[in-house]
Amino acid sequence: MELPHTMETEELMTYLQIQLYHPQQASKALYRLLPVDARHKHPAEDPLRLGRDVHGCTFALADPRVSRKQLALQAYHTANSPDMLFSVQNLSQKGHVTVNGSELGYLERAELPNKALVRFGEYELLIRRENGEAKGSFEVEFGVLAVPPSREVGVPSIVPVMDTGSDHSNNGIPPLMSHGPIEMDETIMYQSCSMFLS
Amino acid sequence: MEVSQTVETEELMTCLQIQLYHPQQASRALYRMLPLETRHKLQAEDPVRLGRDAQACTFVLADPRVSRKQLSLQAYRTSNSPDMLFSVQNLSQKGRVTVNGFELGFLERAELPGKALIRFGEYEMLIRRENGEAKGSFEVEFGMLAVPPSREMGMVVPNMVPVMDTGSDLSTNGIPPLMSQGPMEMDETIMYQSGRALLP
Repeated sequence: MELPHTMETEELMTYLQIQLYHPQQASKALYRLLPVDARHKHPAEDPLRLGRDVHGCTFALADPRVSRKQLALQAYHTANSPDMLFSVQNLSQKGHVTVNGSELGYLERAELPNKALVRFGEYELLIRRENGEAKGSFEVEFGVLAVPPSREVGVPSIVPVMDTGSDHSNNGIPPLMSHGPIEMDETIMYQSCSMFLS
Repeated sequence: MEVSQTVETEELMTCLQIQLYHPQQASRALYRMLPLETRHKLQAEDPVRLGRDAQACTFVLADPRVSRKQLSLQAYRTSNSPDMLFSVQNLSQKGRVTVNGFELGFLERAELPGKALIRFGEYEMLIRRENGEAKGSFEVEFGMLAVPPSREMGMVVPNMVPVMDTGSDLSTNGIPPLMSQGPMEMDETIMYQSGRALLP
């Protein structure tokens, strides 16, 4: 009886759901180079790079105003947690990347909370992480949001950015919070919220 | 009058001096794929990967016992320091990487102090960082050591302290600096001179 060599693929992988919004996404094919709505397996030791440059990045945005290398997500572990964690690093010398409202300058990085709103230019990325056991790889899936996530959830005030890899609380990066109850007559917005506020 | 487009190259770049030792380095061409004794310019946003796999790594060790991707050095900045800092991450699922005596498991990473001894397998890498102003790139230079740096530096293994990757903290929090154990024997003149070459 053969034992499968691909034990890795039978273990649940950590899953990053990256939902995008850009005000011109309906009129410009910004996401045409992305594998939208498909799970992509990625080696954990490789940074996941997003930018304009198809050769320099794992995933490319078809937008000349995006930096060639815009940002990187890097998986890492700490000694005191079994979870696969991620940090986000700003790879661009022009413009800032914000993570839950906190600004990252060029080469600055921060631990990514398990739910985070990352913004650069006019882009908004709502990133959710679901933990898994697999050690060597993780999955990423892109989706498109019809409404900007920043409008649905409140972005809290600026807190200093700390990259404390060993601390798996969201130290320094505030969690996403709502401002309060949503107007019941704005049913479309409410339904959009319930889709991604799980 | 033309203004120089390449202001970047006129600024002093942060330099990582990486000195290697392996007990069999004299008999095996382990470093044949490394650009020894030359400064190599790299983009700061790209991780520097060391391993056996020439396709996947920036620098390659010609040794079947090294992992395909062994470790990476990644430049980063914090908001409270002008310096370009580096973290080291263990990319290998087999075997450990130690940084100044601290073990890093698979995907664990740590801030690299200004001077650090990294070990994996039988390799020892003494890495020294010299700060520079340039923002977008840095330099790497490889060299070879005749004697193991661990012997010269008198590696003191401290109490186990959790490894912290505290990017915002300028001190090498969690990773102790290299320390000598004390004065070296004066009659071991060769070792002493080698020691002097290593210690700034």
